[in-house]
Amino acid sequence: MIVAVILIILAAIYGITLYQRGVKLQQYVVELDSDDSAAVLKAIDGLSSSGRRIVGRVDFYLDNVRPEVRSRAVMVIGTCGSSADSAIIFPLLEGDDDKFVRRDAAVALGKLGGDGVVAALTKKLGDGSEDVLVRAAAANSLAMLGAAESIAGLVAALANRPPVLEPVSEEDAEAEEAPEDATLPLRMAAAEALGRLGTDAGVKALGEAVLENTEPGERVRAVAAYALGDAALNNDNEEEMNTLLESLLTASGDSIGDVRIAAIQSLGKATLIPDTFQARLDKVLTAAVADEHYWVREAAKEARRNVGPLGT
Amino acid sequence: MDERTRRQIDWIVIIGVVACLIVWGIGRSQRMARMQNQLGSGTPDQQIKAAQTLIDGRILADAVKDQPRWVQERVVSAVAQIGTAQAWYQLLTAWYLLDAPVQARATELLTNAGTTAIPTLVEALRDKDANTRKGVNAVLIAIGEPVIPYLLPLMDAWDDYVRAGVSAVLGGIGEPAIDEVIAVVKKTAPGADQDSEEYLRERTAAQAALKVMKAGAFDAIVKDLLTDPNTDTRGIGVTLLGAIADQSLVTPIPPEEAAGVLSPLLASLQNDNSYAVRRKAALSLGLLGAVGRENGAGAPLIARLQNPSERPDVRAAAAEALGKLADPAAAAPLVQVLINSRQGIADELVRALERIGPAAVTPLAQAITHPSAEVQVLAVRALSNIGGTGPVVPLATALSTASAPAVRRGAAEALRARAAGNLSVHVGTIVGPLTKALSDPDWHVYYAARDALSKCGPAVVPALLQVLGGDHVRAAHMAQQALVRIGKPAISELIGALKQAHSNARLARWAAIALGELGHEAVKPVSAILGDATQPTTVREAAIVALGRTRSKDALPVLQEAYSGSQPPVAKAVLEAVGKISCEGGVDILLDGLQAASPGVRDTATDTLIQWRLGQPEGKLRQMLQAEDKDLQYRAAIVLVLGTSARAETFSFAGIGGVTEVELAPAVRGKVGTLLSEAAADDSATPTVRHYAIKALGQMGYTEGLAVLGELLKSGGKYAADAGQSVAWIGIKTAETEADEDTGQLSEAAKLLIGLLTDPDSSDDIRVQAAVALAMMQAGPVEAMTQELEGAPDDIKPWLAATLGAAGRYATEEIYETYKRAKDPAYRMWLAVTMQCIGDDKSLKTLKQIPEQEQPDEAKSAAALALTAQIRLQKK
Repeated sequence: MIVAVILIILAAIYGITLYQRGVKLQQYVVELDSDDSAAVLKAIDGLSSSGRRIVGRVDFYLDNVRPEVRSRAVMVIGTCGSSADSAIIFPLLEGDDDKFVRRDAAVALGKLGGDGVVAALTKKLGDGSEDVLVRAAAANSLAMLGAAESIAGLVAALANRPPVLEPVSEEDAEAEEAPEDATLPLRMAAAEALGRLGTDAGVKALGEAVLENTEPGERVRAVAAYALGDAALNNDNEEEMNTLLESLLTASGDSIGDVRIAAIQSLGKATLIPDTFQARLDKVLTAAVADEHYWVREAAKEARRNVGPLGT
Repeated sequence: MDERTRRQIDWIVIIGVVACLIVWGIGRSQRMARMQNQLGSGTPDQQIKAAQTLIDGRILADAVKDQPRWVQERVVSAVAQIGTAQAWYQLLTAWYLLDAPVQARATELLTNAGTTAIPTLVEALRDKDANTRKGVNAVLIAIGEPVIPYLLPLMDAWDDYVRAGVSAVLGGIGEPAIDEVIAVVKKTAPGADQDSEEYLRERTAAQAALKVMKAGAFDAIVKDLLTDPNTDTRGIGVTLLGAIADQSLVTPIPPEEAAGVLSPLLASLQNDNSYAVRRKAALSLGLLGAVGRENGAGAPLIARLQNPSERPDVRAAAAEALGKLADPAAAAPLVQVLINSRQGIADELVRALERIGPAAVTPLAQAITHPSAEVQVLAVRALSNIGGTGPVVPLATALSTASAPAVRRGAAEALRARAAGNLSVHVGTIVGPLTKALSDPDWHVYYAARDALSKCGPAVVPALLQVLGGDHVRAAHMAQQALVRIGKPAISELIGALKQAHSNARLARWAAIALGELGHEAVKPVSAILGDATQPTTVREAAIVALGRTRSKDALPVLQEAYSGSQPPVAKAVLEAVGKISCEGGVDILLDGLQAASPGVRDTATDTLIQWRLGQPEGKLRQMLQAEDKDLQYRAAIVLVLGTSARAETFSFAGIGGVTEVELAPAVRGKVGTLLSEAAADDSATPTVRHYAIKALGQMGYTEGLAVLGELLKSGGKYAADAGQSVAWIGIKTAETEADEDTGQLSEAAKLLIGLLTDPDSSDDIRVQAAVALAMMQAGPVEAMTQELEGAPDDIKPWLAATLGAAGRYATEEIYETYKRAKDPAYRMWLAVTMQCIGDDKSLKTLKQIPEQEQPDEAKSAAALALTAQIRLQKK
């Protein structure tokens, strides 16, 4: 009898808790369309931890007139949903007016995965008329999905760079402004993605992207150097390692400190260093320890610790 | 299960739990390091997982702190990959810890997040942690217009940092936000869900946002605010224009942009129908500084200032603005207004003229001579605060010509405050007014003139010397002080003045004082005069006075040499000088002086030795007691008693008007006392000797000298007063030394004095001296006099009553007790008269209780009171 009473009480408490949770969730759903930033954040936070059942309760916001509301719904679905929910996101990726909504749709698809996602994202990546932010998000999402079939698109995106300007005198530099680099965020995202995915073609493309005489964007070169470090981790492909090490050793002499930091730190991540590179690596690290940039020196010390003794 | 087994199991469980806790603790402590390592060196998946863990735990900032550049870069990349609101928020909390290049990347990431990130950014703007807020503004500004609807509700927030952030962002967004911001400024009342404080905060934030927009806000302010029908709104508009265009800021907007506000401000100044708006427009024009001056803001402001029908507030603001513009062309009009229509704006006019500076000096110089004292005062005030040499001459003119003390005072103090260099440039012109001011009746003026003259330096010395030798004593004193302040450069001319002692004694005397105050530096040049035998005696005397006033020990040898074989006037001067120098080496000169041939010199030596405090001359003085020269013996005795150094042997105080009693060594006491008694009675002794001897007898408490003193007292004459006092001192001392014995006997001194007081043959003068002495003796003779009062003749009774009255509180108790006991009505009446003469609290209270018929007779009281006053006046 007592056990039954206890069970009934527990069931009642459980039921009340469920009911309150349901009420709270409904409140969050309503607040997703609020102008109160605190309420919006709380709603996103609360809905994001509530599991897949939320998708059905927020999907109606995907048609909301306000783009920020649509973005919030996409974000929640991307966090809570599964691959089966990607179908409701596709239309926003393809046809939404707002670039931020399309961007968020690309991010969400990267988390959801599912049929047709890679193809859609790859298409978006290669769409020259699409906004660079959306294409960059697509690149990131393809990397999250581990989509090896997108390598070619990523390589093409990374290679879509403005030409390197000839060195000019100070007077000429003042007279002529450098053209705006419209694809910089895309190339950075592509470089990061290629670093995650690895492959020969990716490493080769990254190897070109770290070179000062090839890639004009110093931040792209730095990201590419970090990406090469990611590719070097636990990589036993000799050909890839050769390309990778060659590129990083060249990048370690870059005129920009941030690129040198990335190159030196990435050299420290190489677990397999062929004999042919050991002497050069030792020389580069020795020189880097005396670099004028503090973090280059620190990166060189860490790399030295990681690679261990080198046969010179 | 047996006990042993159970215990083993328990221990195993406990150890297991503890081990788990330890492992867990170590794991937790290593968790952060592990995640940082994964971020820096892990695979991309590990990096994202580590970042997500840190974000979920809200500890991303802790993970990034003091980490290498590559860890920071990885964090930013991971946040970009994760792309949730929480991830962005955590990135903002860590933003301030990132290196500059990484911060730029983080800012770009958040900017690219666009409208999706707005709620996160706005919440970060409201975060109490200032570090979290640091990275927000730039991102919100970069996002731009979509942010505006989220920020407008925050404009009335309670926290000022929130409002400041909102204003900064809206201002940074600029043109897209301007309409909303202007709309807030134009609100004339709180909104439906707003209280008055929120409304005011909102308006202030909106104004701050417009200020951040700087020149970009000008068009909207002019178009929307300056044309608003509401006066307050138009006022805010003109104030904002001034605040934005303010050229006195650390980083003002460029002058060409600031010039853009000139036209609308002038239009408001000239045409707005509200005086409040016109006033604010004037103030705003003032903030333009050089921009306003160079673009013609001065003339309209002058016109407004000169308009007599304009309100004083607006005219005052116009004056203030003209001052801030520092337009030289405004100086003359400002002075004209100062003269003709300054009511209510005088302070502003003066301040404006001060700001204009040297260009205002010429018109102010004319105002100085205006008949109105108020104008003169204001002109002097303005000139006082204008730097440079320009104002010096007009100030001197004001000092010289103004009849109002306030004007002269201001001018003198202004001249005093000038730098010495500024005064020196015009010294030829100003020396006359300044020296004239030394004789001004106002002390502020002459002291300031003195200081100003001293700043002028050596060039004014001749003029000061003229004043020094003049009739006006105070002016001469000021001139002397000024010369001392000028210092060494004045010495040679002061020496020259000293040398005129034979023709201008006054000048020489002041010159001596000045040289004396110059101290050591003057010793050598003054000594040269003494060394010059051709110099007249008066000059040498003056030089000696100067040397004495220097108080420099270096002068002693010179004085010693000058003393040898000198004439009495010179010798006296030397002794006085030695006394001033107060150096132990000087005592010998003084002892020589005691033995000089001239009585006058001896008197000077005696006076000086009495004040002497250094060295041990007692030995030599005792030897002089045995000298053949009687006068010398007398003087030695006097100095031994009265000289303070003699009190080094024994020392005691009797608090009688500050006079200290002296005790001498028994070996000399008798000899000294005898000599003093002889000196006091010796008609051939000099008056100085006799006076000092009489005084010394009292100081010694020499009862054997009473006879001599009594005779002197009885005979009246010039020694009676001193004799009476000495008798009193002797009596007091006797009373003290015999206090323990308590014989009840009246002292000889008291008997003598009471005898003189009650003697029918004593003259009033003698009675007065006796009464003064008795009054000084405190309680000693009180009882005896009280008894005398009963049987004394009627003409003596007032004297007794007055003497008891002059004794004061020492007699109160005795009189009161006697009154209670007395039966004789006449006696009681005289006791009442005595109480009236005493006049203390107890006596007066007792008098109030006396029956009418026993109240003092008015005539008798009046006589006794008059005598009491006379005695008290002479009592020491």
